[in-house]
Amino acid sequence: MLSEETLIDYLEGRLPETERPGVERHLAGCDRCLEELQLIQEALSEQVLAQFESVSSDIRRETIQQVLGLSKQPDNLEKPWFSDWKKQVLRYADRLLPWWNLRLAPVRGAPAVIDRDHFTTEKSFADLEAKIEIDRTGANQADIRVTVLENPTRVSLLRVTLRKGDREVASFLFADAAAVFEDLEFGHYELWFSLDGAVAGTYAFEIKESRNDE
Amino acid sequence: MDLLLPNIQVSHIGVGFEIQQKFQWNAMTQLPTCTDKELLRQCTAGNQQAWEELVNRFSDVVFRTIQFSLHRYNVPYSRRDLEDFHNTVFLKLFEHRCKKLRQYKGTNGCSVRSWIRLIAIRVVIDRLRADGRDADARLPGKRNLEELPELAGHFQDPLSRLEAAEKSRLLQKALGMLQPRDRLFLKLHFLEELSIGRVAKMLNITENNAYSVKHRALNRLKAGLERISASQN
Repeated sequence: MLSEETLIDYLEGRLPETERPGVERHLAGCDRCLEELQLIQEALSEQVLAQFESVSSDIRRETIQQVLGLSKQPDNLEKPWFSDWKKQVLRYADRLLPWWNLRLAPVRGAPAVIDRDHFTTEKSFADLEAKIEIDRTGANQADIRVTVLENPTRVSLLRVTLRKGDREVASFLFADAAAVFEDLEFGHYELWFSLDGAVAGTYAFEIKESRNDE
Repeated sequence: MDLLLPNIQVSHIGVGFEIQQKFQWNAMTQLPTCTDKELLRQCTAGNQQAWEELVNRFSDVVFRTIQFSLHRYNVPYSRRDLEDFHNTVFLKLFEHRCKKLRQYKGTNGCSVRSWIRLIAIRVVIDRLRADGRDADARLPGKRNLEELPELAGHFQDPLSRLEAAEKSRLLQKALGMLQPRDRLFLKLHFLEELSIGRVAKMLNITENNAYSVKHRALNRLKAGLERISASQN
């Protein structure tokens, strides 16, 4: 059977010339695909679909519940996704530092430098690069330092805001290319970066006591 | 070796202190306003807020497409049926670690919205077939091309003195000899009973061109029929 994209690309005339004969050959023989071609041609029209009932919010909610339920199944848990990577990373890590309780999360961005009480990461957005450093300063205390690494001319338009839940903890305009948030309790935080008034990126994280043997 | 592979980031510090990254870093943030492609990326990376956003964003088009499909097959349905189909479509997208979502490439410009529409259509057809509600799973009133009197009617000469079954057999053979494009045209125009204009749209040719294709296809078919019946006599 033809892939959905191939069928639609063919229908809308975007398929490369070299691929068209193959698709036509398939369609000439495959009744199922031919029917789908007809159906999708009609269904692509918003006008055609407009005559039908719109979805209700409880149907949507129910579907969301079912979809989220998938993630609790063994097939979809995060751990199996990364167990191979985890082994590789752990092996490498032993050579660098003693690491414990390694946990991986799917994220884009520059590598993190890990130390006992210090965490650094770099995130890029727009044409800027921000360095975020988190230092443990006590049993339930940390400092966050945000530095902007590139483009000093743009920095003056950059604002970084630390939020905890709904609450805004503090907000700085980048005057000296560094913003420091001190004496923070452990918990869930978000750093919001805005450039010239518009939000350019957010970074959410949780600072917590780690447990051994996880 | 790269310590950190794309999309993977270590998010941990040693004993006594731990940073756990919850969400995917997202420059140009805000799920509700990100592009469809970006949303798919977030979903396949495991961001469950993105999963929710995807359902919300495409729920209506899926729901309507399901109704459209059932209508076209003249299949009666209840609200419960629609709910079931709606769930099935989205579960299909996300199950097995978003296996279906990962298939989407968009290389030639197919939009996510169109792509999801066809997935919904396929889910409906698959279910109708499995249920046996439309065992043939063909759009109502469909037969085989070679059985159509409309087509056979074009070829009185080679076919006139033959029985119906024999006519079909001959036509079937001759059809098999056609260029796929010609056969496709005949199927769309005679079998699916689409107008020349509509067929032209589907094949991405002008209407004039379509008339030529029809003329040529029928001529070639006739030539094929004559060849076959001549070789049989």
